[in-house]
Amino acid sequence: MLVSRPLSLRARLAVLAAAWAIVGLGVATLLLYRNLSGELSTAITDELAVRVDNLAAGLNGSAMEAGSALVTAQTVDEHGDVLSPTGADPLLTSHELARAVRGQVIVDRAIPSIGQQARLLARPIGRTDQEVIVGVAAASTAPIERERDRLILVLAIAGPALIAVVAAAAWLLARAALAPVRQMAAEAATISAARTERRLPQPAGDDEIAELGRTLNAMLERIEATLEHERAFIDDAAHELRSPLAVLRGELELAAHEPGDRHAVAQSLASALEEADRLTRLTEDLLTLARADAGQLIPGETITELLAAARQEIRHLPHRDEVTIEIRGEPVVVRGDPEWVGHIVSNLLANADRYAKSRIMVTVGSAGEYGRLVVADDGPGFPAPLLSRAFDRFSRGEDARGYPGGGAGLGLAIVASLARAAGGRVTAGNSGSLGGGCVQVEIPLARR
Amino acid sequence: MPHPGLTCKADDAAMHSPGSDTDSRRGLVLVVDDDAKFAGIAVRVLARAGYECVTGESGDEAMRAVREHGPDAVVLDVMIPYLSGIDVCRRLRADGWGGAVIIVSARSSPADRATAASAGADTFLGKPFPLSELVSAVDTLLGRP
Repeated sequence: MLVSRPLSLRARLAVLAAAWAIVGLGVATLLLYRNLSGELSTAITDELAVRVDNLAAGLNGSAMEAGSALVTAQTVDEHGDVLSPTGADPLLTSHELARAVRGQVIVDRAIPSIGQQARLLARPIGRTDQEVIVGVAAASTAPIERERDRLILVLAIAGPALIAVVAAAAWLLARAALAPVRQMAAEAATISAARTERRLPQPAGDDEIAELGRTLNAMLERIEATLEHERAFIDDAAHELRSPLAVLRGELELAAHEPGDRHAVAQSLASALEEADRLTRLTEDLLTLARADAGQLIPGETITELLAAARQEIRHLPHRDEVTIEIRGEPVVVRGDPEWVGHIVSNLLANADRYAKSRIMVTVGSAGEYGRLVVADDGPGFPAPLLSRAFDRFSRGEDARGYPGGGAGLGLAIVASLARAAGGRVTAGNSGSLGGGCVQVEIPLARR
Repeated sequence: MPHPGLTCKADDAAMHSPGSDTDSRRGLVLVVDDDAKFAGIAVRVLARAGYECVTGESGDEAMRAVREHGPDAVVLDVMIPYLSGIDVCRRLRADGWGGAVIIVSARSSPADRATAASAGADTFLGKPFPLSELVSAVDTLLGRP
């Protein structure tokens, strides 16, 4: 089955230009034809009028000017008798004569003595006592037709050529104008997910094509950043999953090769169990983030009292012995699943416990339409390079690597995802009440 | 301030490996990994194979340990704080250190392996790997049968 291929933009522009040329040329031809015809017709009529004027002058005894040899002239009386030249056949029919006696008559018709295409002009030019004398002049109009035919011939030859030139010029111009687009398209065809650093050639200037190039390149930069972010996430996720797997495998291998050493076997199995727990936590964290990305963290109509939820988490969360956790504030009821709020509090506390020297302060209150939870510690605070990406996934300070309790850099990312899913917001800083790191979470208050 | 990571653990490990050939020291291996559990596993398996081990947790500790202990081989994790394993390897080679370098990493793409090779690493092991591969790599690089 034949499938018609759409015309290229260049071809379509050339066709469009040709179509406009045809229309323009047609209108111009029509106007020229009408103007030329009118001019020639008027010239012949004027010539006939002059000749009749000469007849009138001769009748009055004035000197007659020599007329064109192409014009035939007669004087006739109102009965149709030719007065001069004597013996000639009358040019006027009786009907035309009757009209000419009353005024000027111009008639286009065949005249046997002149030809198939002729014009005659007749009008009264004097009178005797009994009758009106009519002057008649006639000439062939064939020259008009010949000029018309010549014009049509010229246009028939020159028109298509002109249209072809216009179409070719339009095609060439379109090709030149679209050359940068073709270059961009060729370059774009080589860009793939594996070569996202490539950019389209930027057309010079500040026209629409250049703007298109800038816009597309800006889009490619955004795509590259997104893909880079995704790659980094996959790399980090793979690393965080393989690390506990490596320990798990190593411990099991050691246990398998040291079956006689019950203490070593027990130690390896306990360690393997810890790594299995670590993998479980990590998997759950990754699933939570994946649900957040997929828009599947949907806040229900449940509400949570923030202060009580924080107290509950503090009671149950293991933390270092040397760290004291204080809590203060007032009860505030926020919109959000108790499990989400608990997850937020536990992640913030785990993060603070990792860096606090001896104190963690949890403050609960409200700010406008939001319930506010602030967790501050007396640790070193966020390193400056980390502060702006504290809530990014797998973002963590140098000291956090290898932290035995996890520390994959997902805790604050999950806090941010849960808070945002609940319609809230998060901020991190180093201006907490205890001088160390400080993370603030705001969640919309429940409707009263 | 002492560096808790820079402790010789060969004897401890050997105690967990009854029957291993701990009398003939086959060489000194520096194991650098910020995951203390993995470092412990590596030390145990290398000690069981007869190697003496020291450990480090960061890049700067690794550089210091090489200067202080002069190990025959270094087992380096890539993602360690304060100089990555790749940077440590590059600096050691730049300093003219000629010992064996084994890079171990949970990032083991071809690009990661190429980066390690260009930094001067002798062998790359992608986590997780059989512990026998680690021992085999050290044996091969140190010319131990």
